Amino acid sequence: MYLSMFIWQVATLSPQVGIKFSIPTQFNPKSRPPRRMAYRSSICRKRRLLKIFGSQLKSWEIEQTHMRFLDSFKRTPTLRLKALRESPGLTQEIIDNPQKSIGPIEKGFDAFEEMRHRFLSFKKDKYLENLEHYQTLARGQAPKFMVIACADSRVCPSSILGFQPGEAFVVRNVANLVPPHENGPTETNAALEFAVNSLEVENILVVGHSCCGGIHALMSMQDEMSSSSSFIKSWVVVGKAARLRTIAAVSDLNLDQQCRHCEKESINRSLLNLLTYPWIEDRVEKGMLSLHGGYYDFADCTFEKWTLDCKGCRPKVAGEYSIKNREFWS
Amino acid sequence: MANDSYEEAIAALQQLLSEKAELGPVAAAKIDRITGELQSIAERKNFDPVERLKNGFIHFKREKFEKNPNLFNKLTKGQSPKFMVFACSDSRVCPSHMLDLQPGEAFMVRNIANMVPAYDKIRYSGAGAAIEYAVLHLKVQEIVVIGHSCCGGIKGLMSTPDDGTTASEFIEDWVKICLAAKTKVKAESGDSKFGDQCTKCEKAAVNVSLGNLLTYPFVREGLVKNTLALKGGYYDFVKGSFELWSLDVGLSPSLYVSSENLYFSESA
Repeated sequence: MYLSMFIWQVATLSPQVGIKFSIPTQFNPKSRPPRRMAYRSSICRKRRLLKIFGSQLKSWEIEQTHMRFLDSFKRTPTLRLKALRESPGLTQEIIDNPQKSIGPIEKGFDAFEEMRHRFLSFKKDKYLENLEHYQTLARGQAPKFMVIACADSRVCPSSILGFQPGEAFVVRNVANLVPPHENGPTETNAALEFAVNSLEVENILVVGHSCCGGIHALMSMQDEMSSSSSFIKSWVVVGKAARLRTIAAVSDLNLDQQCRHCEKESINRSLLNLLTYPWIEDRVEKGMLSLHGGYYDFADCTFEKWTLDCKGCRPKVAGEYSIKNREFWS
Repeated sequence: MANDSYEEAIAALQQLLSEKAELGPVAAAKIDRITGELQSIAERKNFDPVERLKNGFIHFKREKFEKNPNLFNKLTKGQSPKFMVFACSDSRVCPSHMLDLQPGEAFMVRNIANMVPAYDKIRYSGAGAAIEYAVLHLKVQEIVVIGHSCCGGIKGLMSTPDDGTTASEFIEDWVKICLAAKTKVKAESGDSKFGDQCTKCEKAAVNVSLGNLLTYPFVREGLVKNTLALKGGYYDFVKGSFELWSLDVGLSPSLYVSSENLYFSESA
């Protein structure tokens, strides 16, 4: 078995130069299944770079040009033209050596063609339109929010809450869980430490949502204490307090309804787990940090939001808490 | 010299400057800095987080949800994203912006420095849970790990002293997942400027994460069966560029050896 890397550089628009587009080099049709283009890692050092200058080229034109160049490589592998550096014009520069025959671009990369197109649109419509803002952001970030959301593809906080670049430091994991301090190092609390102590965010928002697969797994677990070969179970057991409270409160409801209840209960458990971190508790007590919960129901597109009332809660005493400023947006 | 009132403080400053005029420029610079700090405090006080969230949600509902009923109706029944994305928690690099990912397209994990830890059910159950869910339940086709420029996590990794002392409770413990990237960069580019080393490490760490993905048996199985592919990416928001590359895994033709002849395949 061999590992090989190839570089496929998505077209970039840099303000100074133009469009850069590089394609993979050697391809040995005998050694690879026809689905992919690939080459050995030792050959990666010899890169063939195709430079196309001229901002008037649209993306499909680049594709066409690309295919023509590939044909010409087949016939004359050592083709070399001088690059025009000053004025816009079409240039072709091949840095390197005799190539073996090149296969067609594989269909599997259409998704990445799409990504390239989207990045270019982002670059043109947003990045270059707000260049000064992006340059300021490049010097440093000062988000006011830290958001802990689920990894679910339907609940990106940038989409549903409209966060723009620079506004929210976001952690996404299965079922938007926050483990308590006593669990030791995890990816979530490393991010918490950075957001609270380094970035000094003023708000932490834990966003849950309807039809959460992670919560469903938590509620469906037969025996939460049994060792399991599943990663999912090892992780969602962080939410076991929410599961216990849900079962105690609504055991008469069906599984789906219990899951709805648990999705919200788990958000509150996570908010209380935030207070188990001394540097979070300290800031909350001083009024420098607020903890909020949010629940996105994507069936009817509603958002419920509330704030943990830390004056009224004694989380260290039997997990008591109260909430305030509840709002419902529809 | 403690003065409680603003007027007394200003009067004392004016008195000092009238006696020592050469301190004028120094005082001006310090006053500018204080003014800037007070302005940002004022801005912070004017900022209403709830109002910001509400406006964001209402905008999403009007501009996206109500204008795409078919898509969102389908999403209520379930998700079937083609991509799983690992991205940094950095507020400047949400892939939904730069790659215009729509709801339902990408199962996304965001953590410090977009790292994928190696298989460990005790220490790293969070990452493992996400990968397991994405590969086995959602059956994603591509896993993409996207790094970025000016990454605070990578900078922290590169700044951690080699003797193992740590300044943080959790951050350094997390970023040492990609210690191999730091070692590689230091060995190859130890003489470069720190900023350049960090840039190299940001990309090398993506490759370490791609390698760590191979420690998950369900990922390996997906790769061998060709139902899953791994990609690395790098978003440079200073230059405004995006790089994308693939980790290719395959089987070379077998080597046939007999007593009469030795046959080597061209790929050996």
